Amino acid sequence: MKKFLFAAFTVVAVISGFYGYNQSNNQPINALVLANIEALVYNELPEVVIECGKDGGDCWAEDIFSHYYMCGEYMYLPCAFTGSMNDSCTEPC
Amino acid sequence: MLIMRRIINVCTIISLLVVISCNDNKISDLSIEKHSLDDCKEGTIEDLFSDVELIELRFDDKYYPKAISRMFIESGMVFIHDNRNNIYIYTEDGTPISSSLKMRGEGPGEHPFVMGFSWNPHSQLGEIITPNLLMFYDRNFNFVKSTRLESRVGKDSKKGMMYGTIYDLSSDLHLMSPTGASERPYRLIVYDSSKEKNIGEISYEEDVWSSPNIQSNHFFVLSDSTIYCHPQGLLPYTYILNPENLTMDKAIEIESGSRCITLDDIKKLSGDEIQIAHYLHDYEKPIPVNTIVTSDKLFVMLKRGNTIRGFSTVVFDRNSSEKKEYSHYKDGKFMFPKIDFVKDNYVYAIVSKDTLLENPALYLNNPANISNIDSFDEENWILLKYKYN
Repeated sequence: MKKFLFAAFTVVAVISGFYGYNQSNNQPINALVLANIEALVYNELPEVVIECGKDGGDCWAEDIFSHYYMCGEYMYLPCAFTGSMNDSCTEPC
Repeated sequence: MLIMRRIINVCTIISLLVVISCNDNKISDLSIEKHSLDDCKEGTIEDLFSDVELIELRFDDKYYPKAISRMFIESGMVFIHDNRNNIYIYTEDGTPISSSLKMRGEGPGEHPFVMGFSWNPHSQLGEIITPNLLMFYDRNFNFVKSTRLESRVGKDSKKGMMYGTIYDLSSDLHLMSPTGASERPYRLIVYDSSKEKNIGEISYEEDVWSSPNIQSNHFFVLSDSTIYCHPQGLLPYTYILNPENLTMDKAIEIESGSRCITLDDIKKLSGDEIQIAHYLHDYEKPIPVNTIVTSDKLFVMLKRGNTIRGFSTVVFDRNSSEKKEYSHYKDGKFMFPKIDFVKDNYVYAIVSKDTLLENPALYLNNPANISNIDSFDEENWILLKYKYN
């Protein structure tokens, strides 16, 4: 039983480690730097650590004032950083 | 009697002043160069371009941009901004110099992403806009310095400020456009990086019809040092920038004519600015979305619908007022490139190798123009450099 529990724990640890590594490579930058930016822009003190995407995702919104980008033959409005966790945006290309 | 004479003299002076001021307004109106989008003759790519040179833009093996959002040439270097907010610098013959990838991050001298970029010809430094900093790098992306950006303009403003484009008036003075997340985006903020302060603004809000545009480069400096500016937004005017007193005067007007979108068309649309922007995204009438100015030509790109298949470019001769329209797509093939940049009688466009090989018009229907293409990597982008007549 002990061997079984040890083996199960090891498998879970390895999977968690691998997942965590992948996640860390999977863009969300963040943290205090961008939280501070948001605080700066909205003139508040950050109370929680937020995570913002670095190429879209959370804290980004479609920017209708920007120039269109092209994705192959199609045009789209790019995401622009807003610093607000209420926003989220993903580009097609 | 003496009083009467004085009154008459004063009245005469006032009348003269009124007449002079009215005349000034008329001269100002008349001095706007006007061009209409009506009655354009159709042209072929060979009418406009006499030659094309292919320049391979080599990228790092580990990273190939999926799309290019902006290119420009300055100080003998080619600058590419990809859709993932990275910058690549090349010599004009396509030799890679550096990229911003190595400085992307959160460490000292690093930037989380690029919100806007320019190469400052006065300081010979690259400038990257981040949400709260303007960061300066040399051509190899070695960090030089950073300055804080003002995140709020005006004591009463309720929204924050972030910036998406930058144009340099000197080493320290910069014109910056607010992003959509900011208050009043239709203005240019004058930022003094030596003082880390915004010292003024140039507003063109009352001339803007709506938001859609494909204008990736906004300033055009001619050989006589005149600076033309077509700022972000959908508007019929291109301005001349007066760098000494930081004002802009209307200089060129593109008239819609009967076939292109008009201000009345836009006024008929209901909804807020975001809804109207989405409606215009698919709009079937031609919309002028990009204007490029040279000393003798005007390149105005029109969009219909939301794909490049509906695009065309109208080229005006500024001296003779002759014009021709070039459809980008016809009979299942691309016939004309999406122009990214124009300089010294050369027009620049970026395409993929596949697109170029499948569309002979893009190499002027002359296989000799692509004789070196076999050596190009499939995934690299190709800069097309057209010589125009």
